[in-house]
Amino acid sequence: MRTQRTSYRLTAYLFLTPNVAIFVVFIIAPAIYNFFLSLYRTSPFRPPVFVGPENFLYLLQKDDLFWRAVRNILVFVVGDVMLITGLSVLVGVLLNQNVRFRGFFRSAFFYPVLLSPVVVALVWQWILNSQFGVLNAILQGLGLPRQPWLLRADWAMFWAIFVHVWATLGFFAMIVLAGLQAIPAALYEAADIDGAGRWKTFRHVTVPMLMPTLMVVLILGMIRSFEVFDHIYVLTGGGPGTATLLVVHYIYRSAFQLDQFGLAAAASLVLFVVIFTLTVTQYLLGRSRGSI
Amino acid sequence: MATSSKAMQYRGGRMDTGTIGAYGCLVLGTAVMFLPVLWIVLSSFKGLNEIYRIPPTFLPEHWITSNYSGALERFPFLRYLTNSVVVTVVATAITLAINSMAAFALSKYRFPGRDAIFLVILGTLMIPLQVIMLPVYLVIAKLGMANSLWGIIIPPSATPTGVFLLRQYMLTIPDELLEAARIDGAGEFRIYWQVVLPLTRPALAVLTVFSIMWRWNDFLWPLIVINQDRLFTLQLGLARFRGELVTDWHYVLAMTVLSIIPITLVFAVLQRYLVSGIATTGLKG
Repeated sequence: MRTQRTSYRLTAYLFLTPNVAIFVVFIIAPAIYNFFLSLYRTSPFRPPVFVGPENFLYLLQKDDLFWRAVRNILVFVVGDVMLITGLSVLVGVLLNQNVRFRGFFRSAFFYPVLLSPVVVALVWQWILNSQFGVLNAILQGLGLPRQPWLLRADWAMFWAIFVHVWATLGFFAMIVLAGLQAIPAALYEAADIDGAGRWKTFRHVTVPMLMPTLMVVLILGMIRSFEVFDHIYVLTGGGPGTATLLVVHYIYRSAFQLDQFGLAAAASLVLFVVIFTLTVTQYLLGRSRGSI
Repeated sequence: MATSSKAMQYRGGRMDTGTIGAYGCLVLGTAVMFLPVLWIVLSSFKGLNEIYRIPPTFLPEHWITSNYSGALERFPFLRYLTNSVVVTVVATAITLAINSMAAFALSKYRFPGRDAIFLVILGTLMIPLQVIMLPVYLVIAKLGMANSLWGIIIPPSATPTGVFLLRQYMLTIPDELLEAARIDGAGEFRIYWQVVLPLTRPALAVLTVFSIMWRWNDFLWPLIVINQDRLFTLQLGLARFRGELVTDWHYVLAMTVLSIIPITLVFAVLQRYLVSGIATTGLKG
């Protein structure tokens, strides 16, 4: 009996090995490696030198581009998350209505989620192109001035947010929809019997019951927003100038275009702390509500 | 907000202002979500003169397909396509295999360190590629996987979400089934392969759809790992055409449309798995 149990144990470890090995080699080891990289000054021609917190101090005190990226990402996250949260509730509620063609509407709102960031960016580049784009053609048709949408800093940031919301809204709306469908119908019947109108029912039944879902949307939205790279990298290339250069783009640039490994690692660590905090918050909130 | 509250209606049927408002919002929303894609599809069938014309035409004056044939001739589209298909298929197969093996071990055996391992696997959700892309690249380069499709396939194949999803599903399979198989003399691998996996099919289907979507649309991994044109995936190939100064828009449009056909078909057939996957686990879309 004893030997059999030992062999089960061995079997379990064998089954785990491929997956865990990949985790260790490609996630856990790099994460530790990243920590050490952030403490070294590297150059392509000399061996790395240990410099302690120098990279972090440089980032925080001298690196204008890093601060630019931080300001950009904060604007991006605030705009993105506000729109995502508000619109996903609106769309979720709409898609939960007893309307005709409901399946079609759900698919239509979900469809952009399937598209790759590159395709999303190309689709909108084609629409927003300052010379040939259909949006400017429509504006011109209405007698309004054409705009250099992606070539002016403020517009470029606006469209960066808009395009990302467009691409991810369906995902969050589906989460809200699932949350709405989990609200017991008895609560609505009770509200109906008590003579609560639509607004009161929404305010006092739907909103409180949807709160856990909304927290998920809010925090997941923030995490994904801080991690944004592909959509904007292809849409604007971080431009015009550095107007839409976000933190991950900064990391990519330092690591792969400028060979500033130490700075890239230090900036990665800053971003990691933000994502770590958000994830732990989500976990604690979820656990306190017993929903995970 | 005001519109949504007005549109609240728990028993359908009557056409009041709220319902009309709901339809209005839905139609408007559908237009915003769907017209941009329709627009590039229509544009891809227009001639070069027509796509640059102002005011633009909505439907093509003459439906032409030379954008497609031209794109196929002038760009190594088929090579990119082949690379994308290879990456998607091989990576999805590996993901299903190793994630389900890990989930099997974590749900059907008791062994020291099991819960710790599970927590560590879930914990890696907090470390997205975006925050470790540099050290990951250095590791991949050291292993000689830079500029190879294996470098895109292997590292992201051990997905924490996949392990989680499958483990939760396998927990619902009664252990008595496994015991019965053992009494009948089945080995452990055979139990995994012939008893547990067939019963896990719905969860495997969800993971398959997500894996296809993740891999087909992936951009950051290939961007980091690959810098040789012959190894480009579709997404890398398409991304070369970004920017205001692109002059080959007619080809870019055609290639973009071609690249979204497979994923659209997958969606049409397997939509319910996608939606249920998001609804039950918040799986990243």
